Amino acid sequence: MHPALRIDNFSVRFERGDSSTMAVREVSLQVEAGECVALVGESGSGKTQLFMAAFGLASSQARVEGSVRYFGEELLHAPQAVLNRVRGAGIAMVFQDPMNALTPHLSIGAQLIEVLAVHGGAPREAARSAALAMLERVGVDEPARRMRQYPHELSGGQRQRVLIAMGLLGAPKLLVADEPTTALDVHVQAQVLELLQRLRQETKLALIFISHDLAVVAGVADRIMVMYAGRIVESAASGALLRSPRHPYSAALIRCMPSMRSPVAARMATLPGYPPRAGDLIAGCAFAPRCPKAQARCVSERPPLIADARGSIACHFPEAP
Amino acid sequence: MESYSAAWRRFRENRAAVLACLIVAAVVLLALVGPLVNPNHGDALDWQAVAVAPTRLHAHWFGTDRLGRDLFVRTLEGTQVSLLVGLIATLMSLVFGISYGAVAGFAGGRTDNVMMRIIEIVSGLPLVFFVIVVGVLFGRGPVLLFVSIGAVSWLTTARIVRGQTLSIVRQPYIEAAIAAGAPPSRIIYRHVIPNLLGPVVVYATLSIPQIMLFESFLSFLGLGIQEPNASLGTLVSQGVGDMEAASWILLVPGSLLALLLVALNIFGDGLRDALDVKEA
Amino acid sequence: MSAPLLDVEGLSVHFGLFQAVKGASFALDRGETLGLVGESGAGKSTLARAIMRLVQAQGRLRFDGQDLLALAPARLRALRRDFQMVFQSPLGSLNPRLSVRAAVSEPLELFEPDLDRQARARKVAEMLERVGLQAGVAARYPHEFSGGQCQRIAIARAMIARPKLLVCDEPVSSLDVSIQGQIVNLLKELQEDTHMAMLFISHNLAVVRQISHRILVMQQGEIVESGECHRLLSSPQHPYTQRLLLAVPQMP
Repeated sequence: MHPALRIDNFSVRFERGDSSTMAVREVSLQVEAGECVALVGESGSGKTQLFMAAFGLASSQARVEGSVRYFGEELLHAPQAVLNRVRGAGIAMVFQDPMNALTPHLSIGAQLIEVLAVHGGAPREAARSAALAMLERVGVDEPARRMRQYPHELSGGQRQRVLIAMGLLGAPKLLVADEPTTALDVHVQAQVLELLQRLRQETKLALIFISHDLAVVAGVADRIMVMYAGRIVESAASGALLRSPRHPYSAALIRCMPSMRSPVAARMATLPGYPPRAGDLIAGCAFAPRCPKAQARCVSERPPLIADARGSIACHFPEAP
Repeated sequence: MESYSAAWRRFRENRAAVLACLIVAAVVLLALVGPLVNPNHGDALDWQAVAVAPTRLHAHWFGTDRLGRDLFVRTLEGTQVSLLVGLIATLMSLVFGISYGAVAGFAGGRTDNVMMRIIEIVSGLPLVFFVIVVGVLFGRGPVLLFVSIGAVSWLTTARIVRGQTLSIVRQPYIEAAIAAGAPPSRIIYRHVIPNLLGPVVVYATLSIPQIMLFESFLSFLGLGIQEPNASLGTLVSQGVGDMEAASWILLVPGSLLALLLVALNIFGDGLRDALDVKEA
Repeated sequence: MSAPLLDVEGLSVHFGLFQAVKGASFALDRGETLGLVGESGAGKSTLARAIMRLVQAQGRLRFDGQDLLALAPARLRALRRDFQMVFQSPLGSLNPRLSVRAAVSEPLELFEPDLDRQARARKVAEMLERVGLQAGVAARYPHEFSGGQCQRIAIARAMIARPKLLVCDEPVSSLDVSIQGQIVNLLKELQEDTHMAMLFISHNLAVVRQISHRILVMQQGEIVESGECHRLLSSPQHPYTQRLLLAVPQMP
């Protein structure tokens, strides 16, 4: 049985004039049906570019290498027809900004029905009732009324639900949610997370959850992969990674999380410095300049990503688990 | 403004635009210096050489027209006039258009409403009628041409500037400047105008060729440059009449006009690319 | 006890028929940080803009003994030296055509016009170093910096004229987690240096509790609860505050 998604040695480079920047470097990951994998990293770490490029949605300046297989079917450099089929019926994506992802001049119903028309060419009445049922399923209140409304009439949380409904109409087997709750208020966020969990259990949906927020990810993901400057630096089961991170970057992220439980101190815990910019040349470990444990070796020699029983880690001097 | 050094660096890297800029500069220089170094006068009639073709053998390098006037000098003097018309009218449209549009867009509300209605009324007047009325009142001549073209072209600039201003005013940095304590005048000249200059300068460079064409249209109707003065436009329209018998009378001013228009357009595009900060 | 620096009473903001802020009342002392929490659309930003006199408001708004709602525009502008603001969008709140030096020195040009060029440049350099940037960045432009660095520049601009009140509207919510703490710590340090008052707006309770002495909770344009930070978070009285606290994601 093939995994829902298997990415091997995947790199994304952007070429612009005579400069080229590496956004994603040699990333490998695997998601099984019914599993939720979280990809955590700061802005600019390449987590969004990774999936845009993997599914052929990156800009024309992107050069990709490696392999992206959806249930064993290679997607990289695949013909457009294959990509359209897979993106339509197999893979759905939900983005951060629920306002810009909907067309403002079409009613919610019209947009949902259009998705069905594109996929299956279902008759109009059937499409309408399917759309209605889907809105109900993702917890949109008063679905019949919402069908007639326009995006601007809905709250942020309702819009995000509509987008999830839209993604699910094609009966996908893989859902990539890119910061789906970042623009939402805390209690709406909690509801959307609950919804994603429920859908995963009901349909064996494989879920990839992209976020910069470890606290959000903690409650949803089976596994967490931490990304820094285009590379995976650590991956492990959710609980293990949060309890005892091995990479100094993961540890710092957890330490910096503002939490309701951490003591109110004179100063908040911080991670000094800034992440490298996409164009920077990095010989050693990209995190070395910000790392409290960095030594000469970290600057000159890049630590390879080593897989073991617990997950994988790319660090010369990892914390003991 | 400091950021223009970066824009200038980007502009220099754009070879086509630099070349176009050099061509424009060369044409301007030629138009200014050329008539001085040539022994012929633009309005002197040489009855020994009526409508002769360009040749190196006699004093008329680019030939003469059907009245025996030296085409080299006439074309360059025409270029002077055309460039002057284009430049002054554009300058007028920039000065009036930017201040009017920026104030209307920044003030918003009722002020904006009144100011834009005024623009609509003025642009509703038929231009040719307007030019004739001004001509009757103040007499014909190049000055009339500058005033009437400038008076009309600022309307478009003002509309563009107002539209740009409306979107700039919504930017957080404008609110930040108000919160910091900057008065409206400072916000307009320091925060609004520098940010709309890119598209406006591009529009202005691209409007110079338009205005030059419009000038030749007015001259053709007898409302613009009058004999014995000439502009590139009038020279071309005269040349069209003799096209079959003496093609150089059309080709000499025509090719210079074409070269100038193409170079100005490429120059304008280059400016737009250089001024776009986010492209860096 | 002396009069508070900022005294707000029955402050309301209307947008057409919609009332975004409904009679907000609170006071803010010198050197104090007041956290303002609530969900998006609760009216937090509108309240901040009303205090900054960026939107029209009704009610009573006294700052440092002056009635802000009654001041003539020129007087208000002169007084703005004493109350400055930091915005949510670090890059958006900086004019893309102004160098860092030009941006940070703007308040100096406005409020200390007698200062010569060198003195101004020196003050800007000092301020940039104070917010953790190298003085060498002064000649560069906002788009060359990351979000966290842009927010430091914006803070330098707000602080250079030494305001008595700094209004921070979601200053860290668009920043990465690893940067948020840096900015919060910087604001705390600046407050200790200058004894300014702060109004700190955020939807993130976990951040607000790190910096605030007191907290206001806002729901649908109304302040529904207020109190000392620790007391309010450990025993919230209003059901909305309780709901807000329950929804904060917890690390396992």
